[in-house]
Amino acid sequence: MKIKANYVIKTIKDEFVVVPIKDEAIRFRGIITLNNTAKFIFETLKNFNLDKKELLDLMLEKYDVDQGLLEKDIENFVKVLEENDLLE
Amino acid sequence: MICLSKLVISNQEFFETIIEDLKKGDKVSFLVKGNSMKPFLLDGLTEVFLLKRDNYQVGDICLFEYRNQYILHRLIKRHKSHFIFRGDNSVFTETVHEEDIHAYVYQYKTGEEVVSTASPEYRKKVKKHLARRRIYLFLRKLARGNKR
Repeated sequence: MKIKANYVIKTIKDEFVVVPIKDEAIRFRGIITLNNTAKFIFETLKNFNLDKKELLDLMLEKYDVDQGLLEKDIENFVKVLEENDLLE
Repeated sequence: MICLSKLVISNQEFFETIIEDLKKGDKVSFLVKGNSMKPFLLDGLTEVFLLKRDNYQVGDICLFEYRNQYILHRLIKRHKSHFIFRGDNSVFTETVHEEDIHAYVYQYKTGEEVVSTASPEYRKKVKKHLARRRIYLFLRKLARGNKR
């Protein structure tokens, strides 16, 4: 899975937000906010096409967290990405 | 914990971000808030597309700063040192300097209808609306004068 190329991360005050670029314009509507972990995943999936297992391994290398919990978190995160049509 | 949620931000923060992008020469869009530009722009329904330009023309709908607020109204008069704006559905005017104007609306979208503000049809419609508006404002002034 990979994030569509026409989505970018912007910083509004201290928040990271995802906005689409469509018809040449940055479209500030239905803005989604990301925390640091979500930003890491977003940037990774924007640059690399990874499956859930590869993403999990990458995150376990970076973060010291419980694998089961992280698996669930990734599952939920991917679901939100799908619901918002952010994946290719 | 991975967090991804909808964000609610203040107008000030929102427009500061948008203006940064406009200064870079990017095109930006957002949903209109308020009814002061009715019947052209509708509250929560119309998405406006903006771009910075060097020379703003009478008739342009512009994004500008006025008394610490960001406003999207139509340029109705242009003088050497200042510009006068009014909402199409408003009776009040705003006078600002050129440096307070950030961009103009080159296109807007309401539902499936996309309107280019450069199109002759749109310009004709604006001209007609503004002429009607001038009559309304004149009659309103007259009526208020008679009451005094």
